[in-house]
Amino acid sequence: MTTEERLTWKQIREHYPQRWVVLIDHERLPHDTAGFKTARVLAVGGSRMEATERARPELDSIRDWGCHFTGPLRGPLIGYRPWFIP
Amino acid sequence: MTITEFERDAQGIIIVWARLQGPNGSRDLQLALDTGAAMTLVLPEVLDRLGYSARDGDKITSISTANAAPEQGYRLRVQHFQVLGFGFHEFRIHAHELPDYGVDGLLGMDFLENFDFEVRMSERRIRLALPAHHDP
Repeated sequence: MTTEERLTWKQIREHYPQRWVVLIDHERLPHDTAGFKTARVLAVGGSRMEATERARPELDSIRDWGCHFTGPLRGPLIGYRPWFIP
Repeated sequence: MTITEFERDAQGIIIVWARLQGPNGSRDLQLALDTGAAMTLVLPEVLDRLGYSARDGDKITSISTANAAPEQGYRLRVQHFQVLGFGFHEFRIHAHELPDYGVDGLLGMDFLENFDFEVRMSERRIRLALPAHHDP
């Protein structure tokens, strides 16, 4: 699937609840290019892997994309502290 | 100074958008802001698709939580890392698995320590500024 419709992240979460979505063609925010105003949904899946596989073969020729979960995210309850192994 | 809006997860943890550049392009990421994490961490799966691998690592690292056995990962320098309106070339990232949280990784103190930052919870905004003594 490829939708031509441009959606905000809020709209994407409403349209595709509890799914993994592959987003392309981001309309960037002028003050923060790590965020985005709108994007197009290239594929949807039940897992990160399923969504990215469904996005092929188009995804292979796209250099700028993201795969995100539209459901509630969970950060860690306790801090992770990597250390070096000597 | 930059002002960036953020979201909160189901437990109230702050989630920010980030962007990571690698040999295969760039990816948008969602990272949990974690002042309890010394290092910024990204899932190996995400780094793999960007064209990185353990061969790019310069250190083997280990990670553990209170209820899990230590797991090994690696540290590498990525081409460009951008979050909260600031970007760094050759930024050090730790590649480590995380439980299935839905986030792509953690934004740790190794990024945040470069700035004066202010979290405004009621506004859901983060203000980030280079410290006054910063030498560009």
